[in-house]
Amino acid sequence: MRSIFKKKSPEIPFNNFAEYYIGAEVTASGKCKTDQDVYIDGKFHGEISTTGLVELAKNSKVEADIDARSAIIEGDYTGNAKVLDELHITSCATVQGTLQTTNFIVDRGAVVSARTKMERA
Amino acid sequence: MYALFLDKSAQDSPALQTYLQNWKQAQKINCEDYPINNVEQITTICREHGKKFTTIVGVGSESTFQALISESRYFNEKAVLAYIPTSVNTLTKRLGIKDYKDGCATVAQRKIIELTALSINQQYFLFDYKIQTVKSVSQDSPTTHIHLDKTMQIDLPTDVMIFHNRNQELLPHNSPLLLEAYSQNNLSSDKRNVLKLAKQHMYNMAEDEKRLQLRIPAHTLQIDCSAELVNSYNHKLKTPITVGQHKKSIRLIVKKGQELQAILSPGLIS
Repeated sequence: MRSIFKKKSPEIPFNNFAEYYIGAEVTASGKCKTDQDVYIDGKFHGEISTTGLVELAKNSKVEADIDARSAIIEGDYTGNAKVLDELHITSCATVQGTLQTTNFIVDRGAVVSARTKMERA
Repeated sequence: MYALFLDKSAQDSPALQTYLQNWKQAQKINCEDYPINNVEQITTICREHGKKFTTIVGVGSESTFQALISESRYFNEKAVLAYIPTSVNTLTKRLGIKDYKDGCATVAQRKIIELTALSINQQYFLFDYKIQTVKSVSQDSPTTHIHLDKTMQIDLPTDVMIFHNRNQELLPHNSPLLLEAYSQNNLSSDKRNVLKLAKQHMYNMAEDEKRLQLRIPAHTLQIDCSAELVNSYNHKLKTPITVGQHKKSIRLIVKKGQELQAILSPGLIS
């Protein structure tokens, strides 16, 4: 079984070519439904549903239910996340809520206060 | 009947005037010429006479042609728009026109394509449309409120927004409209070219995080702002600004063999 703790944080590429790119000074709320990648560097409140990747950047503050193929959380996240493939929580992330995924990676230093459910793919 | 809208650059070129005169005679074109000095004149003429034209030709700069597109609600459904340039620009590259002589030849060939336009407060655009806030010394960074497809609300401090019409793009996508918002202070000099902007943005990201604030797809948008908003002709826009799809297609004359280039997204035009 894959370890849920990983020592070294990988370099996460800046994804400003994502279909949904919400920048650092932007506050958005509502439902974001797409089949493309979503990158959030600002504040977001609501729901995110995508068949692509969700990236919550280091300084992001997101309160949302997430339904995605894969997700990388680097910022401050609160909500229910259902991630089909891989959920990666990096060292600077703070996460609260419930997390459901098949592959779960938590970097050393991450703060996670969440109910977690893992299932085999 | 043809209508030729000649802007200042066209009026100042005796060679072009002579060539146009000979071309109209040779082609036996029934035509009305409208010398124009500003974009407002185009609106007035189109409103009063637009319905009687079958072919509307913008002669001069790219902005003259764009102004005609904007006022296309005044034209007949079967009317076609064409362009005779006085300089090389993005539009000439799209339509495959080298110069005004080539422009005349292209108009005569009448190779027509239909493009879906997007509308902004009942004005239309084919490729991209830029709006920006009016600079005010006393005002802090203005806040823009965007309602997106009636499901998302976005607040952002921004100076410049560019709407891209994605109906013309070849790659598949689910939304006809893409909104990009920038901080004007850091905007590249080449504002029209998305790919160049994006490329620079990528390289400069470390020192300049405010350049691009938002890139988001939508079907409809409604925009309100704490500051006055103007378009690229410095025309004040009534808020809230509503952006959506135009009900009818715009018929455009392009050079033969240039049909693909004419519908490419702005960043792919070199």
